Amino acid sequence: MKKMRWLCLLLAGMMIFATACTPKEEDDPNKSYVNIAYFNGGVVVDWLNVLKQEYEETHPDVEIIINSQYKDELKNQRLYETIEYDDMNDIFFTHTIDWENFAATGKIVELTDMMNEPAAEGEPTIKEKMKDNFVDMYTDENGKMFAIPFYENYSGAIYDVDLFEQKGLYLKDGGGYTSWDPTTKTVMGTKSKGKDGIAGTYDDGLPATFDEFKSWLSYMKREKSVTPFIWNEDDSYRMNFYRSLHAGYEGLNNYALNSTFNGTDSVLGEINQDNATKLLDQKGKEYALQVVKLIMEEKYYANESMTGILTHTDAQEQFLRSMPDGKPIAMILEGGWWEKEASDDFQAIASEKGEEFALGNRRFAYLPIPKYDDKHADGELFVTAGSTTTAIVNPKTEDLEVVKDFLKFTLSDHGLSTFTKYTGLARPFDYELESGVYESLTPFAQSAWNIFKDPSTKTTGSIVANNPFRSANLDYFLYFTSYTSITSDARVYDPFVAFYHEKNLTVEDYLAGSKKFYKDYTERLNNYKAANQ
Amino acid sequence: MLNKKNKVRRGTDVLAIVGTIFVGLYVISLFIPILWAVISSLKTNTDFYYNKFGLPEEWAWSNYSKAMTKMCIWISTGKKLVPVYTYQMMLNSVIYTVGCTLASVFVHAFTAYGVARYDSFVGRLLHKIVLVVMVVPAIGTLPSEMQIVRALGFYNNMFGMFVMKGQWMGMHFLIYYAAFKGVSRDYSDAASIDGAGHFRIMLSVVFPLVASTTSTLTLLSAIGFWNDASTIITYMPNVPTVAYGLFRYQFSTDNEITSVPMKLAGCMIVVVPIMIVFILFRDKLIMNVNIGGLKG
Amino acid sequence: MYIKDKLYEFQVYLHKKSNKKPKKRLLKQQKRSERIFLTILFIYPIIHFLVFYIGVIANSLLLAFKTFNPVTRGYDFIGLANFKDVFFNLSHDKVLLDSVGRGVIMYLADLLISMPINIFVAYFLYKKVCLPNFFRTVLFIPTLISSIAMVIMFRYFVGIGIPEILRSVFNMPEENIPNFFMDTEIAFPLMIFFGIWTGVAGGMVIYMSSMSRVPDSLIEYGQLEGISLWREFISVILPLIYPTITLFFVTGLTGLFMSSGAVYSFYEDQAPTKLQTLGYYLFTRVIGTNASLQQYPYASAIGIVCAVTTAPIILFSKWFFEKFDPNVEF
Repeated sequence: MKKMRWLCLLLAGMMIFATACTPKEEDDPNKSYVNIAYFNGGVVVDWLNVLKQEYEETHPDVEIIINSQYKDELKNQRLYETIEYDDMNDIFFTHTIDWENFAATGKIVELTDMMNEPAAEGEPTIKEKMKDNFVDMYTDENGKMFAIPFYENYSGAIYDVDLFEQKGLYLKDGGGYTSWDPTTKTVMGTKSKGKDGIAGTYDDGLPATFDEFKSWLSYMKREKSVTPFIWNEDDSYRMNFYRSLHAGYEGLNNYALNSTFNGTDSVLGEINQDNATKLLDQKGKEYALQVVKLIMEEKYYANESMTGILTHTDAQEQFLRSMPDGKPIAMILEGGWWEKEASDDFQAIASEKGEEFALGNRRFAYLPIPKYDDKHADGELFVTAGSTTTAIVNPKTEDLEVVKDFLKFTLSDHGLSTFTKYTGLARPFDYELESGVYESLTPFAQSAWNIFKDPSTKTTGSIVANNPFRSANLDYFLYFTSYTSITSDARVYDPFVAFYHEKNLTVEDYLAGSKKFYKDYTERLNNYKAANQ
Repeated sequence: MLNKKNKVRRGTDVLAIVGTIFVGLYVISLFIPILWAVISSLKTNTDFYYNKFGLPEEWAWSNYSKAMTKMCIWISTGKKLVPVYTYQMMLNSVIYTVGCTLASVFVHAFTAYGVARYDSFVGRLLHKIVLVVMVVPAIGTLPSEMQIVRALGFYNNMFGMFVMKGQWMGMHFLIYYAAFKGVSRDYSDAASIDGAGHFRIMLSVVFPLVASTTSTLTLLSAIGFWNDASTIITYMPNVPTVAYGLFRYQFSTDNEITSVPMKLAGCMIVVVPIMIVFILFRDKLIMNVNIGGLKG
Repeated sequence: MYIKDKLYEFQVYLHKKSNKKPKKRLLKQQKRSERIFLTILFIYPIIHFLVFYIGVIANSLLLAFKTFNPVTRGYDFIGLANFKDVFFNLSHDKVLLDSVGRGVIMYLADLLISMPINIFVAYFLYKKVCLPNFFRTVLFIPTLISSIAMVIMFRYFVGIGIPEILRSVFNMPEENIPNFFMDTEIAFPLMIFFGIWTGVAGGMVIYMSSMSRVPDSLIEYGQLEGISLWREFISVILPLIYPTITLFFVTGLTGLFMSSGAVYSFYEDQAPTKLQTLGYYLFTRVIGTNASLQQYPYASAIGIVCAVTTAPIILFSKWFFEKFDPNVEF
């Protein structure tokens, strides 16, 4: 019986322990509290801390609490649950989400009135400040708005400017490649004009056509022993590069049809929900596949990229170390936040090899997409990774007016400029940087800001617009944007992996497989609907 | 009763030689990766980048303290987020393991006892149920299980988990069932004539006779619960255990812990304590189980 | 301890009283007390079964006849559409069928390679051939360590360590170094190997404890005859642990279509299609990071189809084993 007693005691003790609650702190009844859940990724939270302090100084009755420990909880599927059981956070700065589904289920607060007010005195309304394509993306069919776009962040190939200069990887005007004079530390030879044909712009010395691109990569690898690309284990990085090739060729209008299914393709004609599979004939897709095939066939990538065990920070480290170690890698497939993420690596390398390798002293920039043929769209179209990263408001919030007021503060020109200052990224609104901010950015962030402000460049997301049809058939469109195909014996979601595994697979095979997949898929969807009725 | 029967004339039997070589090679294959992981976990990032196999240039013990702090999980108390540190997770793990193991072993044992030693309609039914349940693979039950757990107030509730894990259908039921069937009726009949009640017979006569089965199953369940991350992920994220902590840590994309040495350090933090406990108590844990061998 | 004493007295009184009962009533009372006893024993299992099994299963069986409504985030009744979908895919989708095949291969590897090794290793330890305490302790380690930790160590060792050995020790040229986790012709066997490797001593404790139940007299008899270890294993041990083996076998059959090994732990949602099994496919849709409520009805329907297919196989094998060993108890 003694044993039983111990057992009971133990059980009771455990129950007390298990249900023991943590002490709650007393609130100041005269204060309003705004809790913010912040996605703890590459977009560092510093900017929000600065704005919080500034706001609290002018509003002594408000306390802003930033909870930046969240990660997966704020990702799309998990967020449904997080927000449903969350009585604490008022604002969520999320990862990529389908805000329209949250809105449809009443999980977030409507913000239309706020968007039609200016963020600060003397400014246009928030909606007017917002970039046009984002207004489309963030307005539902009734003209209501529920979410605020968070940031714009270009995904693609980022090249090492110092390496290009020193290794002589720029194309020379009139043929050949530039060289490097180590004594004067200058580039020898005039760079080619690039794809816009104008000297003195961001694309100078970089391949303008697909043919140039091919010979350039070959020169890089074979003559200069430079590995062209590195990317990490997460497929979304390489897929965003793929999308940027597709979008770069097609231009904004045609590319957008892949998620709106409503409009006119400049080549294929009218596109609607019933004939959307026609979009598989877009030349941009074929072009993107040809580039991928080239990279995989000629092995223009670092070995580690295809091992499936290279984390994003390891890939960044390898890229950064490659030049000082003499095993150079030309480009990394990344997003705009990568320099911040790699700041420890910059520091470590600088302490080993010298200050010229510190963050801000090394120069990087985005690679423009080479033109494939004369149908290739003009200008530059960048794909923004995380085009639907979003700020949303919890309907359980108590002080909605205070919450909105703080959100507006973050959307004022000052708030936006502060964001750029600390993150090196832009938010999709029309604003200028405050004095001294541009100079404080790293060369890479400056180049990204130049792209952002350049009227000839456009940006698009992997998802372009809100569309009720898409929401209703999310399963279908999830695959649609992932470029699924059925190759000889497997279903593939990622052309990089497909060309890696099947050496004999051609671009035509891949496209044919895609068509077959969507034919089967449509048949399945129709069967399903028929059974549904 | 260290029985002589198990002693083999060493070196004379082909099977013994083959077996020794096989098991020996296996142990080596097991140790190399573990040793490599331990050494790598003590390298700095730069060191590991350039030196994948040698000893660390400097022993980066700081990896461990960093992993300890980074493995921390933040939970909401309604007003703010509070951290749950590794040592608290260890404590949660201990409570979770002990509670669930006790619940699971007792419920299995009691139910199997009732089914095996008494002839009743319900008992026969329960036996049939176990067989059916083991045959039907249950898939896609998660959402409804979630609904039920929340409705019962078991979500984020350690005691609720004890109740939920105190289940009786499965392999362990069958093992207990066989063990109880194997105990001769003479023992319990004798006790019954002496005036012992049903509980007395069960607890003082029959249970001691299947002690080896009990300790085996206790050990196996305890290991299972100690390493169980999926239940915590689904039902108890606010009461994190180390298994859950490691899971989150492993898939975390936090920049400070995505390097290989940091991932391995996180791993070691979870592995080392259980290894120490096991090695200290190994006599009690596995040796006992087998040598005890009362015919069950 | 006044109350305690009183209680004791009361108990003694009750005891005496019950002993006074005539014999005839004793039997009847025994029946009654047995009923009470069994009620106490069975009440919890029954409630547990009704709530956590019947409740859950019924709910999810219904799910197979429903479809997800993204607007209400609930499920609407849809009839047999999910099943039609499953059969359509099974008849049209070679990829899906292949994944079923891979699951079966994984299961068979477990059955035909792992299980004999397990039994053999358990026997080796049981016989205390060599350094028994050392081996018992060490072989238990993979069972002890969480599978996540095993996967992390193995993944980095094979993915980073071994290529480095090939590079620096064997001077293998870069392009010949295999890509262990991406080259599917290596990666799939590697997944199977990982399962076998970590599971060498799997079931060790249970096998050993059933071996320890083998009567001494039988073993001694054999030793007097001077039979080899192999003979002893085949003629004495194996038949006597037959019930345990068949138990593992039959219960393992439930995983026939659903086994996915450690693929998810290695790859999360990004396993190459040629590594995916049906179990993996469903798991990623129901539990993984990209899982969505939308996928539950389809998963549930596949589950039912698999259960209906597996059930006869299990029943047959159960019958089969029982036929060969009349003493087997399930």
